[in-house]
Amino acid sequence: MDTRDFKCVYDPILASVKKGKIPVYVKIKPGGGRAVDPRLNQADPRPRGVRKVPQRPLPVPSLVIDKNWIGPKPPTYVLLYNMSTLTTVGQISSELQLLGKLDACELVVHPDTAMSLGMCRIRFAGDLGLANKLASSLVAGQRLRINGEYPSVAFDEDMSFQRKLVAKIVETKNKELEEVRRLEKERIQREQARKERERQSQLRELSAPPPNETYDQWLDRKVGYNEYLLVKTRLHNTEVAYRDLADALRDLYVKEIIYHPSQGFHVTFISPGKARRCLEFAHKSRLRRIKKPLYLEYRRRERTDPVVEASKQILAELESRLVEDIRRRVVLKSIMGSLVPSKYQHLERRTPSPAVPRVEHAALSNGLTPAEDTAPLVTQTSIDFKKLHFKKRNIGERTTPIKRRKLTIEELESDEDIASDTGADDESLSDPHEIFEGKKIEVISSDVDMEDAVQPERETAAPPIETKSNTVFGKRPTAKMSLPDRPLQFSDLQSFIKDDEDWQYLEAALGTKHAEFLEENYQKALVWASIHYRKEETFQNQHKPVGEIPQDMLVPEWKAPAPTAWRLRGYAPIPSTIKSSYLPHRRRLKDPIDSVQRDSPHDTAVTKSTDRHSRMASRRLAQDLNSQKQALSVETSILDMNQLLKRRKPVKFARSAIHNWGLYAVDKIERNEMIIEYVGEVIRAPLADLRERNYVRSGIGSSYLFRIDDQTVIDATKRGGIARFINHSCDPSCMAKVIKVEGTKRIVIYAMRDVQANEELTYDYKFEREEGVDRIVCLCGAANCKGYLN
Amino acid sequence: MVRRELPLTSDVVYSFQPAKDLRNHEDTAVVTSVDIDDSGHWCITAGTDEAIQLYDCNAGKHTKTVASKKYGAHLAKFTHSPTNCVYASTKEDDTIRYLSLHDNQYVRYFRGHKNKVTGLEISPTSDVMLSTALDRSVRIWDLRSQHCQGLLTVPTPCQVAFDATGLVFAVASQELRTVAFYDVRSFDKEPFVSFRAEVDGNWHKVEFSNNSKHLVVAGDTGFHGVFDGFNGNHVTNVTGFRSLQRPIPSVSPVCFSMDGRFLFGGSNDPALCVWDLGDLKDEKSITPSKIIEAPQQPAILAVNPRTMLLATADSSLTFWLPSA
Repeated sequence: MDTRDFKCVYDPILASVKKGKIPVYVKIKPGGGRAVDPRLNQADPRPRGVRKVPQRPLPVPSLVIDKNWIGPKPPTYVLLYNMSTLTTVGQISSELQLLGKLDACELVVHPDTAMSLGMCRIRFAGDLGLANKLASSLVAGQRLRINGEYPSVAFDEDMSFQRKLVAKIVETKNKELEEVRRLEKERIQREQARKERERQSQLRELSAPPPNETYDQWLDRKVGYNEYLLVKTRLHNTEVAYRDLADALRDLYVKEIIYHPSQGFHVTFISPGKARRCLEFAHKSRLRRIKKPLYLEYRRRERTDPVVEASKQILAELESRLVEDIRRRVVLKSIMGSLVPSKYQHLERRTPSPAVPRVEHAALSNGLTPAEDTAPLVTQTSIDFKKLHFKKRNIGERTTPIKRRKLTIEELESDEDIASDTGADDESLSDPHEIFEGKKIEVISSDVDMEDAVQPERETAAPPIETKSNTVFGKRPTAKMSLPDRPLQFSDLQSFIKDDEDWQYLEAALGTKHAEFLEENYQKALVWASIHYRKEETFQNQHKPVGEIPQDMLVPEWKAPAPTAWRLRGYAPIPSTIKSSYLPHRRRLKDPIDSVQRDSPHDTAVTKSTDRHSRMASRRLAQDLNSQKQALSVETSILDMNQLLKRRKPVKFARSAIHNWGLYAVDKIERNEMIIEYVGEVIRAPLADLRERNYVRSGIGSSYLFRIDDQTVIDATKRGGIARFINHSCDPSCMAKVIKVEGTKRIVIYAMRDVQANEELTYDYKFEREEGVDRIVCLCGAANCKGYLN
Repeated sequence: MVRRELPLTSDVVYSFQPAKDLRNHEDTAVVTSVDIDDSGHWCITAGTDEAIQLYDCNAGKHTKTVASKKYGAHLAKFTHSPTNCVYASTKEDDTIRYLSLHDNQYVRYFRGHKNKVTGLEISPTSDVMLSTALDRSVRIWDLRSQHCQGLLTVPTPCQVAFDATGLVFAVASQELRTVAFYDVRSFDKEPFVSFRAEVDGNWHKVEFSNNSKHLVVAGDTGFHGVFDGFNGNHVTNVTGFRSLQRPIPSVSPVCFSMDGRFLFGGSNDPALCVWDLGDLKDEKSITPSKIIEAPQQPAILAVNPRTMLLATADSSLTFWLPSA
């Protein structure tokens, strides 16, 4: 305290109430009293802004790492791991270049095999601070997408983490290898053990003392009755000899080499006759090569006991005979017995038979009265034969009714077709009759002209069902009684007689004159017979069907299924409607055929590859190539890339409905999209004129010359791209533009409107109007077609 | 940008490491004062090269150099606005100048001292400013006015310090070994506390801790004294460091941490010493709980009030970050 101490009581600047401009000071008098600690005064409100004691954690500032940094070096190396082993450095670095320039980017490889382990060590370029910042952003969470997957990121300044991971991978791989090797070894050991065992067993057999059996018994067992070669030897080292012998006799159809200690090696063969061959062969060449020559003897096992043999054979024969007898007498009889239709009358359909005179149609009936049984070879008893009707025959066929009369010898001599026949006797069918108690079959034929037909001659027997000319019902195997509805043929006649009994009855019917006649006219008879035979054949060839067959009798025609081998199917012209569904040039212009094969329905939706990405990729590729070119001191054209190729759309050429070949869009193309470049030879205008004339003269009617500008033309006649196949249309879907790419002018085809899949691409050729020359007709089929190209 | 946050625990505090070293004063110059503003964003240093350097604490970068060739600069302190500071002139006269940093214009001059200003403090809560000079006077100013608000003569040159509440200020005389507490609003009255502080040597600094619990008196004979902030009772001495060697006496060789628990001090090792004043059991003196190596002796210390940053300076400014 001093007398100079003062306190300002009025400050004009601070005062709220101004009392003048001059500050007023007051001297501080001592003895003013002691102050009180204002902090202890609770009433005194805590002034605002008091520096608070920090309750919460304080943030740590991230100081910029620059040349003044003296702190610990920040980590800059980053390890990307958990990637696929197929990821390349290029993919990784291109992805990371988007973040910043890379200083180092190396794949981590297996120390022994140098195979990628799916890890990469990265450092960004720049000073520490920048590198650290970029690396931190990666580690902190910015997700990298490389090759479709998201690798894990971690700082790894000193490679410790990397080493750890590598060690782990190497260890697992080694373990796998070990495992594989172990398994392999085991397998080999097992193989060897097996071989050893086999060999041992063989050896044992070779060297084992023969069991208690004689040599003959042993031969019986081992060799049997085959021929064999005997190698007489008693060797100590049988194994060696066995191998030598086996080697010497290789390829000689040796079946087995068996050793018997008393006699030696017996060599058996796979088929007879080989033994002798082997003998010749072996003696000639191979056996001489063996150190100790072995001599082969041909031996054949003889049967020592003929009685035994004979008895064996007799027994075998007896057995076979017995079997056959049983079959014939017992089995067959019982089977046939069960086939009696009368047993199954309960299955037979009971319908009243219409009062139609039953056919005693000599030719057609089975020759028996209905009362008598027939001998049908019926396999199905369920068919209602009563429903069978023979319809009227064609008028042209027969006019005169068949007269039932006995065949006179005169008639036999004549050349007429004799419809009537002399049927066999009923008894002629006694044999079959005995066996087959056939069902009564009534073949009813209505509207037949032969109602007054011949009585069934006794000798007429039913012709066999299946005759060659039985074409009434088609070629199917008939189950029905199908009697040929035609005049009786000579062969039918002949087939009536089945055995001697038939012949007896026939003779009886014909009378005693028959024998005499035959003696006299045997030759004539023969001639007549041959003539009729021939006639029969021709008749068969000219056989016409009877007439319309009622629908309910008709069995649907059975067609053999088309043979699966398409070569057997034969040729038939394909109708136009079917052709236009798959031939692109047969269809109508506006109906595109979906000819693109897609594996799944999803593919029909165009997978819109992000054009941006693809364009970026191609741009990068172009840049890379350019940089490579610059790096190369030599000027080469091997690294040239046509950028326009990257932008083209999938198109294909096929036969066109407009003209010959055309270009089709494989997938949908959007409007104003580049489709393809018109590529060809770049020539000057005068040369183009010359070529045009030459082409026309040489016969190439189409023009593939495309003008870029006054001086230049692209000629795709002989060399070019598939854009040359685009046809003209007066209502086009595409347009051509000239654009400059890498300094050169190119013709590029753009889509003028949305093009559907499989639609033909067309554009306006813009030919000049020509006068006085044959104008090319336009086949575009558009509504506003001008009619001509030029 | 997500900055990580750390609590003020001993692990974190002991893990402070020098992170950046900024040498923007001239090579021959020595930094004479360091101050960090209220928001913790800016740091200002005054050096013997008659310039004031402004630094960004969040990035650790030098922002601006303000030359004061005409007057020289010493004891540059931020006012409550980060764009203004007051500093004491070293040349010409002993005015305290109020400078606007962003446009390099002087706002006000505080004239009054007759000799070199040795202490300049701004109240943490108001615009009251305290200055002490070799003319054995303590002047009380209000930043808004150039008229001195009050004058206290002291028998010897002293150190002054504001309490964290801004209601009390301390005046410490090294020759008399006495510290007196005054009430700011009634400083004409006698101090309510006056006690003897047995700290040898020259007193460089007197500082209250943030919770007003302790008061430290920094001496230059190898130990500092820690006293109770309310009644002045001696708590302990902190020792275990080598006194600083400097051509110019340091203005702030010790600094409390923001929660008042730790005391940072510079040592001539060169090292930074940290004393834990949390659990004191009537020890006479305590040694540093942690000694951290420093690139140069931390002669002047300042703690950032809002972030985990420590600033020390000798001939260049060093920023420290926890490495935990």
